Amino acid sequence: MAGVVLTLVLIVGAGVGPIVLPDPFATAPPDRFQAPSVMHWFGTDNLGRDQLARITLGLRLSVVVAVAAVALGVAVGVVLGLVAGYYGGAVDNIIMRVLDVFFAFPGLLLALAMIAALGSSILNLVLTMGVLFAPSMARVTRGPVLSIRQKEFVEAARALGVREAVIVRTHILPNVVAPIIVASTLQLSAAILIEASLGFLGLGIGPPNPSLGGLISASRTFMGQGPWMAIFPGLAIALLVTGFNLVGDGLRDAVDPRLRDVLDSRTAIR
Amino acid sequence: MLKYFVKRLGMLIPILFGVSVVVFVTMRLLPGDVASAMLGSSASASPEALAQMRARLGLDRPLQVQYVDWISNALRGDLGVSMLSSGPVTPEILRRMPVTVELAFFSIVTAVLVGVPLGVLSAMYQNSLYDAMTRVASLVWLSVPGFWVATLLVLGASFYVPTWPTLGYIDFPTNPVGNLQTMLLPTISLSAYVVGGTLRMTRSALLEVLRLDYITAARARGGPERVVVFKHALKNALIPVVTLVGLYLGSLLGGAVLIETIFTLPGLGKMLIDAIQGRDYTLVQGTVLFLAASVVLVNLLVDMLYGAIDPRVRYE
Repeated sequence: MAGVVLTLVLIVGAGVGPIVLPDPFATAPPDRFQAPSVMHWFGTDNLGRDQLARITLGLRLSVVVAVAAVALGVAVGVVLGLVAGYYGGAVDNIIMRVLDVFFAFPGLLLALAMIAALGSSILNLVLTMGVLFAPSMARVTRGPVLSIRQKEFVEAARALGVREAVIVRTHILPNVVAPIIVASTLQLSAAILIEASLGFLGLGIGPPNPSLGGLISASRTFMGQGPWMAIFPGLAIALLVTGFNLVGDGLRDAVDPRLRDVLDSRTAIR
Repeated sequence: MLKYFVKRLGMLIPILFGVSVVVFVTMRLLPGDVASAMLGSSASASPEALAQMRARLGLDRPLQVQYVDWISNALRGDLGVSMLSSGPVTPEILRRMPVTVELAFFSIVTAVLVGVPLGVLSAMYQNSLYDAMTRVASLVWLSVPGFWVATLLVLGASFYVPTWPTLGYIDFPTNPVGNLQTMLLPTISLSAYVVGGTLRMTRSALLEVLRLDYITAARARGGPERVVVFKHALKNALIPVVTLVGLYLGSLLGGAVLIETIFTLPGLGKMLIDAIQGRDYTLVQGTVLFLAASVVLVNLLVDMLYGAIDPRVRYE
């Protein structure tokens, strides 16, 4: 519950903030390095830009990128998982062995290498993280499919001559939706962290657009003059990730506490 | 056991092959190619110069030839020559490796020394105030970005303990105390996430084991709870914890990239970032291949550890 509230507050803030707050790009050199005040809740940066406005805009971009990346990962991963689990045998073997290759890479490293090669843009961030997330979504999907495809109702449908695509879509998919939803929520928190890490390394959404990681990175030059520049963007990331984690945990416990092992060890990796 | 190990080692070959293909292809995704990237600064690179550079780097040959060439050299331990420094890549990786290994080692040790005891206490006093607080703390640990912790630590240290050696690296043989001092803040930053995960996994795994019949039997025999938990339950509960800690190694290496950059530690992570920024593709390619291969190998070793913890685990 707390997680839902936290997440909603942040997302609404990200949606509304850039509209009602001062222009996040408007520089005002006389106002630079202002400490947090009634005028500027989170202070101003080295160019006098309102930090709260920049953080809400960064938050918005983070959420958009994370949601798009996870959606892509789910779309690709679930299809692969369904195919592998339903057909089993050689198909399963080939798909899962190929995915094993991606599990060998530390997530952030693969993202780094791909962004370094592709160049950083919102689209490339989404593509890269989608590639990163698809394998674990495929694993989460495949597991339950393996057991469900042997259930009587699936056999009955097959005996009735229902087409395979229909069996998978209407009889199998609904039974594996729960773990997929839980895993994608946890994946969202990983996506936020990876996006922030890339932003921090200067490989995220480039300037002038603020990214939460980029804001922290930029603050390092001005630590003496404006420590709040380092504090608030990190707080925003931490709260958003905590929110997604709480929601994911809550959903998992509500759906099936036994999912813990599968999800903890397979998807929470970043 | 040895037979199983060799068999598992054999299964790694296709995975490592796949890894090398992914690394190779990723580096070829570069718009334009390495040659134009290298000549990039002199924007007016003539087609002749480009062709010459491609020939020098062997980029004018078919992709599969380039791949076979690269991988057969890699198998012999030769990862090519750095484009920026013109030095061989492999010795450079080996030279940087100890820093990263030390950082990862300290972080794992911290995670186990902090996460396991806190998790055990949390499970022993389930639903107490202490348990509630620890659960919140572990979630916060899991959610806080390590690079932010690192940034704040640098900020805090420069403010409150100006004499502390926050940035840079001191060799352990040269100055052991200085070495540990320079590693302290990076370790705290890098291990935060792993501490949280280890704590959570210890707590839930122990709670699960404590529900089993043999624990009820041990309690019925009248043993003190301390003995029941530490002698009977903990060993079984540690198996998923070991798995998780092993899996964390990959994310530690990823996190090390950020942490080493912030604290200017001359490890593999810092080298990788410098190589990416300097567009030194052979160095990037070699480092990523090396790191991914290490992760695969360590995970195999972790699997082999199960037998030591749980004698019921048989390797076949």
